[in-house]
Amino acid sequence: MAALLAASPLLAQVQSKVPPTGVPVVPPAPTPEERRQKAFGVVHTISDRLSKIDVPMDVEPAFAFRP
Amino acid sequence: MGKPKTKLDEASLPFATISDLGNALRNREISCVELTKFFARRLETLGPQYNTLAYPLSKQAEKFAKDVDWDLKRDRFRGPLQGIPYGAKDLLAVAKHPTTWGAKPYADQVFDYDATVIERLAKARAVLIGKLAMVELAGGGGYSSASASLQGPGLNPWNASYWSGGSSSGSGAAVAAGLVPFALGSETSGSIMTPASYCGVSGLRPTYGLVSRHGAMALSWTLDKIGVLARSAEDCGLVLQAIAGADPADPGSVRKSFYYTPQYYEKVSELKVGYAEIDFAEWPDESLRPAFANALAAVKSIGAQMVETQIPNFAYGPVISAIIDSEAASIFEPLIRSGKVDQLADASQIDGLKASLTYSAIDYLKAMRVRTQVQAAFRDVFGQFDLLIAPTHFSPPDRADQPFDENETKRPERKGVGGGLVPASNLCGIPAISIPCGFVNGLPIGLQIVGPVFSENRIIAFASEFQRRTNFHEQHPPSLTGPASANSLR
Repeated sequence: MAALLAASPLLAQVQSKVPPTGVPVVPPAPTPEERRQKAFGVVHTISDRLSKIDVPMDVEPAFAFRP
Repeated sequence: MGKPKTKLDEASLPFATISDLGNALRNREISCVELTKFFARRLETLGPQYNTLAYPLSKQAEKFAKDVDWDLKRDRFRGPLQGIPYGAKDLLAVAKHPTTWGAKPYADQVFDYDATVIERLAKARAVLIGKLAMVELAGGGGYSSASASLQGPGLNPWNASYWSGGSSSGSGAAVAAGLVPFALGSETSGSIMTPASYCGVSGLRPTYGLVSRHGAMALSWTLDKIGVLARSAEDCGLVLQAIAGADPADPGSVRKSFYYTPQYYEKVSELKVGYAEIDFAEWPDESLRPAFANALAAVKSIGAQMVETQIPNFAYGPVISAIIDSEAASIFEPLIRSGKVDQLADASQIDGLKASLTYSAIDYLKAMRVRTQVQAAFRDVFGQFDLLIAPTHFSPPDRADQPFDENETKRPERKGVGGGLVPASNLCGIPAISIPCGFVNGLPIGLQIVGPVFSENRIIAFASEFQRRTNFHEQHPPSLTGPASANSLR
């Protein structure tokens, strides 16, 4: 195996725990469940931030109802 | 490629302005058929290298071009866009041809009518040569990489390792690569400004409602705008004049026309311009700061009254996200609930659209009420200033082959004008232009100029003055023409 690794730089990179210099470290891709939780978490965070904004009662939404 | 018979040589023709091409057509230095074939061939040959082309329309374009030549031969001049080829973002309906919205679930979608802007450009005798690639569903739901498109990642003609920006990716890249003289794009929040900045072209986002959206994919009814990407601010004005105007088919139409009248804005030096030094000196990534300092010096040389300011402090990000996501969830509810949303290319976007269904009415209404406050605050800002200027983006484009970097770059605590200006100005429905203002490591950077509602002529006039003093907008990707000049100040 050692001989094989020495002969194949590409395979050596894959096996090595320390990334070669100059190669960007790409974080592991999130699992589908992690992605789903993140997406729903974004909505929750935005909702939470909006709930903390005080807006006077007489400020109406920025669209006009036209009869 | 056949050599066109024109004083514009083969190297300069792809990057000629609308005025130059119009003159060549009217002087019969080149025919409309020759010009159309020239650009259609470039779009179909080079377009796939940058994933800009969604669908070629060269056959119908050549037929249309013959009709234009018939008029030109009889000296029947129909305006500045007569005979000028262009491309349209693939979210605009073109009758009897696919309109995919950049998304697999709509790959076979065909409408039986043209979008109003397509009709208007046909009336101006501009020649549609192709549909241009875009981020799927204009990015609704939020995407995590450049690959979020039916045509693959939008590649930047300045360096194909980098993204061309989105969601009007193909429109920005096609203009930058000289594949079309101008292109139609759309913006909900940043989708014209970003590709214009990243690709080094001029991108105009008009006032909300000035240009009809009839026949365009809806992402957010209260935010969507159709605009232009072109070689210069002046070219943007010429195209806007043709596409603006009332349209009963668009409920958001403000029923106003636009006449490009630069002659009334000759004294741009009398304008009062709000800006912040910190936007150019501290907010950009360190590598971009010298180029932005250079751009600011060029802006100051115009002689306008430059006054330090900062924009009002609101939670622009959460407010615009809640509005876009809620409206998009309503628009795409059938796609999401049917499960066809899973056919999209970007997994984050799929999850984002599904999660958007959980916004409450309270969230949406709160966001729209804050939006009322934002509009009022910006009316006050434009009581003091004629224009605001800032860098369009503080960072270079992301790489095209990797997920977007989600680590937020540390920016100064103190805010100026640029941080939040893109979502803020979109929330207000006010117009903006992004123009090229420098290069860093071979990639363009952009300057945004924002004004109050219906101030397009003023914005274009100021941008044109900047472009008279610099030649960043005349630089072209080296692989397509030769190296960009390092010193682009005149």
